[in-house]
Amino acid sequence: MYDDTLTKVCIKTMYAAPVFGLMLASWAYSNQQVFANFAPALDKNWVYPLCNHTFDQFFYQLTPGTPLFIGLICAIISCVFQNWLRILSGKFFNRPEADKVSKMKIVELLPPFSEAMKTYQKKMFVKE
Amino acid sequence: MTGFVIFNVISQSVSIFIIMLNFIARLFFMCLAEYVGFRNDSEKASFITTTVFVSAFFQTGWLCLVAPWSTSREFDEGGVNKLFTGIYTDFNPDWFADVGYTIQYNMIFNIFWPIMEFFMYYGLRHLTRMWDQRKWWPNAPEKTRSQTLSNFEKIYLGPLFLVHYKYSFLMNIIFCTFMYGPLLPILFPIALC
Repeated sequence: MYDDTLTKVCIKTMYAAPVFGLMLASWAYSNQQVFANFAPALDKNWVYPLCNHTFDQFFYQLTPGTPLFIGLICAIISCVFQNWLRILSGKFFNRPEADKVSKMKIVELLPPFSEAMKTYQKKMFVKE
Repeated sequence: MTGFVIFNVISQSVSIFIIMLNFIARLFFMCLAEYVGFRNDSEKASFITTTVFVSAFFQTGWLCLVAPWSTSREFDEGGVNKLFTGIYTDFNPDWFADVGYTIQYNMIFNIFWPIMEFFMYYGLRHLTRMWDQRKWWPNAPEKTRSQTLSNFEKIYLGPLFLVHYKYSFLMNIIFCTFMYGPLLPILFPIALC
C-alpha cells in the first residue's frame, strides 16, 4: 500500500516547473534583434551570426524579459532560502494556525501487526 | 519536396527515439528499484517517480535545448566554449523550425503514447492467453492449462496501474510545457490533451 509520500514528493517537485519557464522566457523576451534593434553582422565561417545577447544585459537593459528575470530571481531565492523565509515570516507576521498544526508530529505507538494477534489467531492466519 | 520530407522524417524519428529512450529508462529504473531494498512501497515508488522523471525530463526537455546550443564563440576560454558546441547562438526562426518542431512533435506523440502502450501490453497479454488456451481467439478462460491459481491470475488479470510511472509521465509533460510554453504557446493546449 502507498501512503502520501509519493503525492507530497510530486507536489514539492511541481513548484520547480515555473522556474524553468521563467528562465527560458526571460532569455527569449530579452532578444536583442527584436527588443534592442541590434543587427548582427553576418559571418561567412558560421551558420548563424553572434546575437550580442549576454547575461549581464539583464542588469542594465529594460526589455520584456526584465520582469520575468526579477520573477526568476525571486523564485530561486524563495526556493533556496525557503526555511529562512519561513522563520522570518513567523517572527514578523502571525503565522497561521494551520502551519503550526502541520508542524506537530503525531507518533502513534501502535503494536506491529503480528503482536496484536493472539497465538491461535496467528496460526489461523498462517493456515489460511 | 524531398528535402522537406527528409527533414520531417528525421525530426519525427528523433521524437520517437526520445520517447522510446524514456520507456527504456523507466524499465531500467523499475528493475533497479527491485534491488535497492526499500523499507516500504511508498519509498520505492517515490524513488522510481523521481528517477524516471529526471531522466525523462533530461532527454525530453534539457537535451533539446542544450545539444544544439552554441557558446563556442561567446566564450574564448574557460571550458565553457567546449561545453556547448551546437549551431544556435540564440532563439532564432530556424531554432523554432528545427528544435521547436521536435519538441512540439514530442509533446503531440506523448498524447498518443499511453494509448499505444496500452495496446502494446494488451497484445502481450492476448498472446499469453492464446498460448494458454491454444486458440487464436482466447475467449474461454475455463479451458486454461494453468496448474495454479496464481499463474491463472497472472495470465488473465488486467494490467497493473503503475502510479509512479503515471506521476513521472505527467510531471515530465508539465515541466516541458512550462519550460517551452513561453516560446511555444501551442504546448499548453497540447499538454491539456
